Amino acid sequence: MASEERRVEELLQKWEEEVRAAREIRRREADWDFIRRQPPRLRAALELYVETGDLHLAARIAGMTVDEFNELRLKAKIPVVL
Amino acid sequence: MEVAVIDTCFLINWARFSGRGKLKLLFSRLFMPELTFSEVRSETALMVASKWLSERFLVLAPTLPTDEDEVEEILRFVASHPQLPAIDPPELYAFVLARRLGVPFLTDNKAPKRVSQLSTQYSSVLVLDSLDVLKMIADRGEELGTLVESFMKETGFRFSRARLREVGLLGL
Repeated sequence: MASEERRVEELLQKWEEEVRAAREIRRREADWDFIRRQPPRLRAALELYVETGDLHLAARIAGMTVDEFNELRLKAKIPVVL
Repeated sequence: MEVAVIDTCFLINWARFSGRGKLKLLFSRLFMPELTFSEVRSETALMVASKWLSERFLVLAPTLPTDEDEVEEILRFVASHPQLPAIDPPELYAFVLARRLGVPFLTDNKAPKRVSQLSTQYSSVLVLDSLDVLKMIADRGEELGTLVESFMKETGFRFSRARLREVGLLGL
């Protein structure tokens, strides 16, 4: 039981570090001029994507399907970080 | 390994990748829940999906009423673990389909992989992301570095140093 708890704790810690590193990469590589030129709703969705990497949520904010939002993400040069 | 389930993100990412044909080195058929397919809208992804559907390389699978209970169970699991990324219904149905068929689930969403790592109940589902798949293709005689570089360039992906180390592209 203790080893299972330790495994979970280690996983959660590893994921937290991954989330932080991925956010930094998205912030660094995003085309902020492009993002700032977008209408408020799309700008908010792109900023949310930079912060969270959540394509579904960002697409919902933008009022698009994930596929459509992915096209916008590419134009904004925001990478998917794995 | 011949059959796998894919979700929308995997399809739209691989539709942009010039090496997408290499998926056929690994799989003879890809399943996708109909519900998930309805999210595909871009011309690039629809053109690829249309070709794959006509070849029966891609097959749409119906969602069964029995999937609903399992979807609810997973949603409850995710809700009780706030550290897990959100998981949306379309990818959930793909996850449940992969579990039902006992085949790998190909997705670039982090949530399904983490659910399978965290929950012993779902650990039987093998969840593979694009880097895992590129590595498997490379194991069939392709050069991994070249594949990864092309994939990142064409799809706007970045793989973390930790992941690149995992697949042997960076020194330990």
